Amino acid sequence: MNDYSHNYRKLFDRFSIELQSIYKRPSEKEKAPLFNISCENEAAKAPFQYDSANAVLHRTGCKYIDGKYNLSIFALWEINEEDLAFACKKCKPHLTGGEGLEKDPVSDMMYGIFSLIDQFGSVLIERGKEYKKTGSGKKLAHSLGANLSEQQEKLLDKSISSLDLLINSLHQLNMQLESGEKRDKKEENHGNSESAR
Amino acid sequence: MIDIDDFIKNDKGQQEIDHCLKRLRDKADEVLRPLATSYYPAMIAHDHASEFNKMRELSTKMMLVGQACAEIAGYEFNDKLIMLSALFGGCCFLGDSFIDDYDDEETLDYINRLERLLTKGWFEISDDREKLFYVIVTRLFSECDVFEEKTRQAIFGQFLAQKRDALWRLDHTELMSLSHDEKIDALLQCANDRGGYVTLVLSLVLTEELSLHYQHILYLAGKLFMHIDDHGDHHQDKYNKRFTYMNSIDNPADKLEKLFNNIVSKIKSDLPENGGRDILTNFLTRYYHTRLKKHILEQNRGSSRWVIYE
Repeated sequence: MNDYSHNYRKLFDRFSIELQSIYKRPSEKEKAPLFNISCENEAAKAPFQYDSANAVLHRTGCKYIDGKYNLSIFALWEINEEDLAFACKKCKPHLTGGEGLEKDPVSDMMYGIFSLIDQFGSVLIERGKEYKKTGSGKKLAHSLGANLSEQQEKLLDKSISSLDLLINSLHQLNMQLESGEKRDKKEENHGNSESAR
Repeated sequence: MIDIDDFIKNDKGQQEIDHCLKRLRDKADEVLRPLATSYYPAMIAHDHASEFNKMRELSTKMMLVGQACAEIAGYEFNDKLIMLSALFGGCCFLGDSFIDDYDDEETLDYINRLERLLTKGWFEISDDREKLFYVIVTRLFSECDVFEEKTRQAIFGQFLAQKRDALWRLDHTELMSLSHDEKIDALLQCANDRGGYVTLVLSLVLTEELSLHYQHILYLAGKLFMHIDDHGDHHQDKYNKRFTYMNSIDNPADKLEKLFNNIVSKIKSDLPENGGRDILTNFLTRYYHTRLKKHILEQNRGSSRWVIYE
């Protein structure tokens, strides 16, 4: 791992930890989810269910799904020809062109931002500051607000105000890392010249 | 029973496993030590070093299984996959310890907080141990597509399997209300899911796709690891009044031998011949024999002091 990615991973860690501190600020009612890994409600509506333990592919709702204690059932939104080799002989699932699980756009966006910050941290921070001032930036903030629930909007407001704090933290951390690196290099050079004597 | 030390020394496949474990242990150290140093320095401090070493050992094993799963699915086990599997090992070690190493009330609190992390994204960090766990989780989640349909189901399924196990351990009422056969069925499925999900999450984190066929085989491999593990911990679990399938049935060693032979044969017959398949079967063989030995040693020891095995 090079120094650049090492430093930005550290910045990402710091960002993630700071993000959690937001949780302490809003009241219980305002604690809207950041993301949800579980997709139990959507899974129940998927057309197929695969029993990993027994290697049987069912249609959703098949009464032969071995489900009392079995947690190994995976929802599937589409299947291919190969998968039919595992088809339940009772419910006989067949090929359909289903649509995949609709992802939560807020979560996707947040992780997208995380991954970009991880890769292009300093460029993004500077770019973001500039973008906030533009008409498009203001429009985005407005349209985000229009699509969010009242609770989410409140959280977003708090998050945005916290972002300023975060940006400062990131700058400070970056400066600390850079000065630490310079100090290490200086000490290394000093050590080299000592040993050369 | 074979002499496991001789077997490891003389078998070519086991020598290869030794070689892989040594290499991966160094890699686990490279990934996890800087994180522990930065976020949970006490873990590295001299008197706590054994905790870091335990985490590194579990991670090393996960990395070996990760290498097998990746190669079985046709992926090169490159630096990125090495890092992901090391993080996954660290995440399992700390997550398991939150559920296993505290008193009942704290265990319940951790279960609720882990559920909140997975379903809401929030995790209030209260000490350095939790900070290290959270940093490992966020690095793992940011490096792979956790919102891929199967991956997210597997991650949440692994949590649910652990939650069920922990709740049954804390409160025996539900299990005790079942008939003997129903109880054995429930414990069997619980262990199957606990183990099966570990290999499924690991494989999906590394490869982000898995055919239904491989999904079944890797689930079987995971459940076999879990039953072997539970057989090794048989006496310790009984001492701690923890019911498992392996400590609740008659002739557990015979049943485990049958299960081991069936699943290893299936892995060999159903998966294409490649390095990943060899690593998986050789490591399962090694794990099986070392845990049989552990079971016998612990039976004879008859004490509440437990030894750490490879």
